[in-house]
Formats: sequence, C-alpha cells, structure tokens
Amino acid sequence: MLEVLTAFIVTFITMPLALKLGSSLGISGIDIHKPWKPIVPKTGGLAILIGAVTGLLLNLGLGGGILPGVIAVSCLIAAAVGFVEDFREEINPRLKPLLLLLPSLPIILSGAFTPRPVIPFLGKTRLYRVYPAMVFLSYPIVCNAVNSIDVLNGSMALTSLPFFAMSMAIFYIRGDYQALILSAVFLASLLAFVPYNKYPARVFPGNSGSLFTGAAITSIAIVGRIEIAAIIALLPQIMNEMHIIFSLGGIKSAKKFKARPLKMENGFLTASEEVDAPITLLRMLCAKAKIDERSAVYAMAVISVFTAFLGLITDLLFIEGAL
Amino acid sequence: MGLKRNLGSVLCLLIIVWITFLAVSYLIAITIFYTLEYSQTAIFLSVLRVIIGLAIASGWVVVWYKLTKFWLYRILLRREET
Repeated sequence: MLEVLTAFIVTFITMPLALKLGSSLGISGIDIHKPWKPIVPKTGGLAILIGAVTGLLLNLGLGGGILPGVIAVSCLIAAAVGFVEDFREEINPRLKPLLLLLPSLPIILSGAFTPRPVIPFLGKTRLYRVYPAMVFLSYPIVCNAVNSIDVLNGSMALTSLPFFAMSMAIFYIRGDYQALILSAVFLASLLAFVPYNKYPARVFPGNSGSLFTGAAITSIAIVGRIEIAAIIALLPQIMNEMHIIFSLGGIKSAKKFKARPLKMENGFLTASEEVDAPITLLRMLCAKAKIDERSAVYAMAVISVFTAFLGLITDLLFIEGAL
Repeated sequence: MGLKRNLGSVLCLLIIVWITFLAVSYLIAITIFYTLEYSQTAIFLSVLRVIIGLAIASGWVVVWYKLTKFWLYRILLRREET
C-alpha cells in the first residue's frame, strides 16, 4: 500500500508546481463555461502522471514484476500524444487515433494479456488471433472517450474514479492483489488531483491527463481481465464519444462545426435544440433545463458510479464464475 | 427538477443499453457459438464466427445510437418546459 500512498502524496505535492509551470509557460486554456472566462493552466496531467508513475515504479521496485513498468510505459506514450496537443496545437483528428494505437504496443509486445476473455453467456472464449487486434484498437477508443468527457471542471476525474473503484472491488473479490494495487495507484493519483480540478478549477488535466487516464483504464482492463465490466462501466464515456463521431459524420474536429451541443444562458448550461449539434452526455443532461456547472458534473459522476455498479454486477454474475 | 428528470432519463437509457448488451451476448451464445464452437473445420468457421460476432456488435452500436437520438430529440428536448 506504500505505492498507493506515494502516488497520492507525489501527485498532491507536484500539482502546485505543475500549475506554476503551466502559468509561466502559457500552457493554459480558457474556462469557457464561466461568465468571467478565466484562463486556467492545463498542466494537471503532468502531476497525475508523475504521481502515478512514481507509484508504479515503486511497485516494480518492491517486486511487482514487469507489469507496473509495462503499464507505465503504455500510459506515458498516451500522455506524450496529449502533451503534443497541450504544448502545441490540436493534432489532426484522423492522425490522433493512429498515434493512440502506440500505447498498446508495450502490452502486446510484453504479452501482458490473456486472449481468453469471458463474455456473458458465452463463457471463456478463444480469441488468440483477434484479441491482440482488440487490444490494439481499444486504446484509441477509450483514450478518446475519456478525453471527450473532459468538458467541465472535475468531469474527467470524477467520471474515471468509479471505474478504478469498481476494478478494485473486482480484484479484491478475485484475490488478485497485484492488480488491486495497480488500480489503487491510479485511483490515488486522480483523487489527489480532484481538489485542484473541482469547480472552480485551478488547473485542467489537459489532453495529457485525460489520455494518460484513458490508457490507464485500458491497461487495467486488459491486464486485469475485466474487459466486459470495463465496457459496461465506461458506457457514459463510450456513448459520449461514439455519438459525437456519429453526429459529426466521422472523425472530425468538433471545433470546426458551428452548431454547439450547449449554450450558456446567464451562467447556466442549457442544451442546444439544433438538430445538427453533436449529441453529448452533457447535452442530454441539460435538455430543456438550465443547469449550473457544479451540478452537471455531479450528475455525470452519478451516471459513472451507476454504470460502474452495473459493471460490477455483470462481472459477478457472468464473469467471475467462468474465469 | 430539470436535472433530476434528465439524470433519471439518462440512467433509464443506460439500463436499456446494458440489457440489450446482455441480450446480444445471449443471442450470439445460443446461435453462432452453439453452431460453430464444436465444429471441426476450425479456421474458416472461426473467422466466420468473428465476422458475424463483429457484425452483430456493430448492429448493436447502430441501434444504441438510434435509441439515444430518439431519447434526446423525442423525449428530453420535446418535453414541455417547466
């Protein structure tokens, strides 16, 4: 548990430094959902990364095998893609998914996966040829899904935490304490980030933070063999990303579209009624209502807790007995 | 009140998506896998099994999108303002 505590403390301590770095280098973004439009550093991902990777490396040093190292490299590759966007500009939306295939390589090359996922009613399948391809594709899907939900103060962290809590519960029940610790390291790092990122945010995770978290979720799901529970727990994020892509008619930058999913009215969020506006989770929550940002984030968190619970039920009913 | 109602509505939608996910798994289990799992000509049928499985999963995604669109435009946005 030393790794978990370390991840929390290191993230919490390095966050003010990351905040200062973002302010001094001008790596910041406008918080568009506030009437006064504050400029907020988007370097929170750096502190999340430093905290979590420190925890993982400590686990490696304490005899956790190569797994924490493999996961750390995978997450760092995803974060590197995010850093390019945070430091420079948005990567071509068609190139980005291709770059996000790269975090899968450490997992595939090290063989840190079991190509026999258990699917409800089917039991243990034999996907020796297909599973590596699924690992390959899962990173861009989940990373972009987590990235797409990072729209309000605290939304990325508060919607990702339930997944890690669910995975810890499953690993505890299964008796897989190594996977439990790895999951807890990421949970601790995100928890330490929340006080800085909750409404009104002092720092944003940036694309580096959200892609790092997306890669962490994917890695834990694959290595820990909780693929189906992860899909169920991530339904809000996947739904959000998938519907944006469907609404835009393909993988395109949402910034290029005039119709926005939300409008601001007297400091409150309300859903756009335009038919060509992208369908997002937040737009559904704000339909025919005026919602303050803090309440909208809590609603998104409630949805994630609920789907994480569904994921846990699914795992206990259909997966654990067949493993 | 608007947020609570919308939240409840989104949770209902997610329950439907979850149930359909399980239903699709069950459907694949009693049809394709039942027919093909114990077959001798392994390679062709295993490829076929994966293709059909992916086609059914893709169909589920499309149904999910259509359902969400219906949910947003016909239920959430059409509701009378309070």
